[in-house]
Amino acid sequence: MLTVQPVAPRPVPFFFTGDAARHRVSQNPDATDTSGTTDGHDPTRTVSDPVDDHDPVDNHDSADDHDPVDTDDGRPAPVTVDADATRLGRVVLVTCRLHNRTTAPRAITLRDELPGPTLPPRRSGVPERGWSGDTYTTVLPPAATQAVGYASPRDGSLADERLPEPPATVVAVDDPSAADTGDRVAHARRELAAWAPPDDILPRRVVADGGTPDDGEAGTDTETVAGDSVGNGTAPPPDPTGGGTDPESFADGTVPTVVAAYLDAAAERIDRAAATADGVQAATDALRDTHHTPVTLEQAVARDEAALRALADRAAALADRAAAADVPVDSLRRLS
Amino acid sequence: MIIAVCGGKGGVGKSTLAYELAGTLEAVAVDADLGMADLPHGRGPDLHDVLAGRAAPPAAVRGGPVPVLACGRSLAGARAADLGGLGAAVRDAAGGRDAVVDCPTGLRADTGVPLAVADVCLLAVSPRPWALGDALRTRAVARDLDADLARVALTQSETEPPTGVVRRALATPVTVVPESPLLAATLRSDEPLPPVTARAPESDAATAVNELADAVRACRPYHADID
Repeated sequence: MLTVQPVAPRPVPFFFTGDAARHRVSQNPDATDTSGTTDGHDPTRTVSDPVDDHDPVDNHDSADDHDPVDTDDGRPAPVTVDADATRLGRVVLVTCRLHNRTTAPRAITLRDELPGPTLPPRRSGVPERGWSGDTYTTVLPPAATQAVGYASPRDGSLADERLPEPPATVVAVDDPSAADTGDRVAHARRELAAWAPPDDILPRRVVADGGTPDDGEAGTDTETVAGDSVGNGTAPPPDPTGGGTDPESFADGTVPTVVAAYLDAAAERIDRAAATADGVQAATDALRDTHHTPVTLEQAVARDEAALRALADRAAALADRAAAADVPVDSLRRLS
Repeated sequence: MIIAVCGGKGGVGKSTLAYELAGTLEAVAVDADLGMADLPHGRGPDLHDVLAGRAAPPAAVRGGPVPVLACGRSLAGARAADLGGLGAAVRDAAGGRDAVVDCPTGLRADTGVPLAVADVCLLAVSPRPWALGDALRTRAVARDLDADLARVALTQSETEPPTGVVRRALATPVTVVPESPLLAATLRSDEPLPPVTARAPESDAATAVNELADAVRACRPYHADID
């Protein structure tokens, strides 16, 4: 695997490389201004354009070089990225290894060079900390390496398109103390479980003829008790004709459709929860087709447990009362 | 300054405290409980409309003895609300005043976002074992999101409130908020009421609310005013 060789501790001048694995920048400050400045960055920083500047031959012989050696003085370039792009169907997966070979922490900004949108890793729909548009900023400790991955969608018609090489470049290296500490709101949305109205305790809105699911409070009369309102998409929608609670609407020995639908959905969740105990692969399979994360599944099953126990208690009590209830049929018949 | 009133469990008196504190601090009370609104709701736009981009925050603040930015009660409104806009909405609604945000129960993003936009927070805890566990988790989240814990409010206290236990567990000074018909009436009245510190300034409840307000004011030097 990847090895990072620490460099001899010596002061490292503050400058910046493109993909230095392919595009070597001397650590000699006198040599840093040869490529001029680009991209409107601080003119004291040298940001090289690896696509236009570099020698294609050089690109080939260093493509897999994880321990690049600076051509000018034989030392590794201070901050580098190894980036590989893999086309997978209609998406390009980019894997990067960011190296900080300096003796100080560095805030490193990586930029996606692929045309089209950048799809950063997300949690709860919020990009991971550090991502902003097509750039990713991270703070790397001295002599450290970090893996970064992202994706970019490709239109199917562009199957023969040549991808930019390299797919990602380092565009800035800064003092970490000046780096953005991150958006706390985004942090909260990323780290905490997804928020949703507590619809699992409310009846699900069933669309009646002429109604729409989003017609606000005006449509409350279309609501009916539904089964799995957690919404994992696996429970059958309640049958409007067979979902009644009148005993005449269900066969002897069965339960009303709405109750059965909930029990079926709960059973499936419990099966999935049980399956997650058989290792990472089984857990991944069990959660694949659901919207659940392990945390939300555990919460859902805990709610199911509480609901089922409450249901069992109430059902038993009601059954006892049903058995004890004695409708005086004969007396009433005489009276009527 | 934005003050979040939070606590892991429901029914510990968060909304009452948020309203009382807003009244005492002459701040705007914001009901951020997008799913289960508690603060009194009049007619007109609400926080759902603000977060869905349908209303300007100041227009959604209802006047009265305590200005309130109430939250809608429809599921459709809750689904349309974009939590990411909460900070700007609260600042805009406050218009230079402080804002006291009533947080939802639980530990999901809708609790975390108010804590993330808040400068300081207040934890409402009732003297039950489960409430303390939830308060500990909420405090950990608040700490992670840089919301200073100004004070713990021990609500619904019995005659011998476990102040020492709570103070040691949360490592924060505790104010006991006594059970009081004055506080019970705060959100139940047909007409919006002024805070208990104005209604009955000599009462024990008013003393407790004043103590909480002082704890929040003590944090002010460390936090910039709202623009």
